[in-house]
Amino acid sequence: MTNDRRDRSDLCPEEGDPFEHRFERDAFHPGVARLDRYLSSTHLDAPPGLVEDIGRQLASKPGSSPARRLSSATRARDRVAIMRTLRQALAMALGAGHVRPMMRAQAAGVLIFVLIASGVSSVAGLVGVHAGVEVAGTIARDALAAREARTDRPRADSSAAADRSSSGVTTKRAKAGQSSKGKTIKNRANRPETLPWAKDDDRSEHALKRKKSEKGQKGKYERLEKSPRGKKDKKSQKRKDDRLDKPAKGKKGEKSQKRKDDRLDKPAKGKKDRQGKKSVKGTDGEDTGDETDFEDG
Amino acid sequence: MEASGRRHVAQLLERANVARARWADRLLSPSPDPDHRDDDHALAAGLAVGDESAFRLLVERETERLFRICFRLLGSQAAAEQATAAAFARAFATLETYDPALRPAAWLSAIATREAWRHRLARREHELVRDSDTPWTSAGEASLEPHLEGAGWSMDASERTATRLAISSLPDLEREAVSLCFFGELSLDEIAALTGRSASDVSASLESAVDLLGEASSTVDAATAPGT
Repeated sequence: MTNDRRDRSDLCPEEGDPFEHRFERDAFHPGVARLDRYLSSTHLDAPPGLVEDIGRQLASKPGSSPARRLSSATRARDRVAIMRTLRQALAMALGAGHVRPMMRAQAAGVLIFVLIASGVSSVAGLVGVHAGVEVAGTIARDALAAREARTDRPRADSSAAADRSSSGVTTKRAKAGQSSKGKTIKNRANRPETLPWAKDDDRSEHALKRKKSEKGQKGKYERLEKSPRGKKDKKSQKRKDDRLDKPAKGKKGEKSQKRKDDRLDKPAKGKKDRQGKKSVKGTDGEDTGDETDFEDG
Repeated sequence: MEASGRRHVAQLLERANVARARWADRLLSPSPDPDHRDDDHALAAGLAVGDESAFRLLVERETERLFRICFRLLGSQAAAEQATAAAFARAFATLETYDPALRPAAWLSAIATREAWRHRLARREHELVRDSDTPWTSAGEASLEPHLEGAGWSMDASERTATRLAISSLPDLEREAVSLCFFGELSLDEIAALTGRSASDVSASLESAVDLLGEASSTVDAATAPGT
């Protein structure tokens, strides 16, 4: 042994003996000799299949790093294992145990990832709820508008006309030059409020007009809704019936008949008179008697 | 008579030279197989980043050696198998604690030594002795060097058990040092790095352990001597 040490130290004399800290054992020491004999008598080969067994056992074990452990625990859906892994990662990130800095960084990364993931999921949930409410509101509004359009045909017509005019299609009235304002309906895009060079005042004027007209239209519809057609029709029908019923009673008929008869009677006299006058005028002497009577009376 | 005495002295000298050469090689080279040093670097780099394929390679390469360490500490084949599997499982679970400056084999040896001792504490001695009576493969016996065959180097079962009991009765630090140095084939620096002690402290522990074992063996020899 000493020869061997000397030989090796001669290879690098300037560095000194690099093996000075090694354990120097005497081969003739009874303890060393006993250990040697024990080693040589227990030099066994591993049983066949042990490597495969160990590999199989390791395959069912969780991963080595925090990220691997977390992923395996998540895959297994084992809540206890997930919580244990997170607790270990927290301890590792806070400096517990003899762990390499890279592993500490990985543990901290796992914790940050979990925190961000939980935060994102909660925010995504809130956004999802808001979006759902918005969509539901839009659907409800559309449904109400469609219902209104069905109930108010004129409004639908007007909106359809507006749509046609906005799309550049002229109505029959417009073709005939009979628009309500005596002008052809222009494209919506050519309205001054939508033109880019239009003044703000013009835009505001038009916007006000449109608002007013819309308000008026709205009020009209509201009024129509408040007093439905059926009631109005009933009233007018009643009045009509009343009017029709009155002559049927005979009062008016009698009177008118009387008047008619009177009128029929009177012209007969008048005719006579006229005829008489004519005749007097024409015969000289007969009509003068009447005048004399009047003069007499 | 004189010739036989010379032959006996020559035999003793030859044995001493062989033993000296073996121990010198074992102590002076950190890795028993120098061809594996490049592989060790690659393995260490893989283990440092938690590469499981590197660990699989380590299992294939080191199972035999770890099994031997566990068998020498426990004396039972079944118990050694369990302890080896437990050591690999522990190593896999604590892969993040691996220091790439150390040889993977040395790191595993330390884990296997501790795991085997834990296993031994969990089982009673008589159970281990009973298990050790089971027939076991004598591949180790066959692999002994031919010139050592029949020269009284091998032990019988009772002597193996006595030696194992003597190792088990050593104090913790001494037992750990002996296990890692003789069974795990680690250098002093590696033992010092793994146990968190200084090299001189480990050396002192080894000397003390060898002395204790020598005393025990001389007592046993004296007890088993034909004259007594």
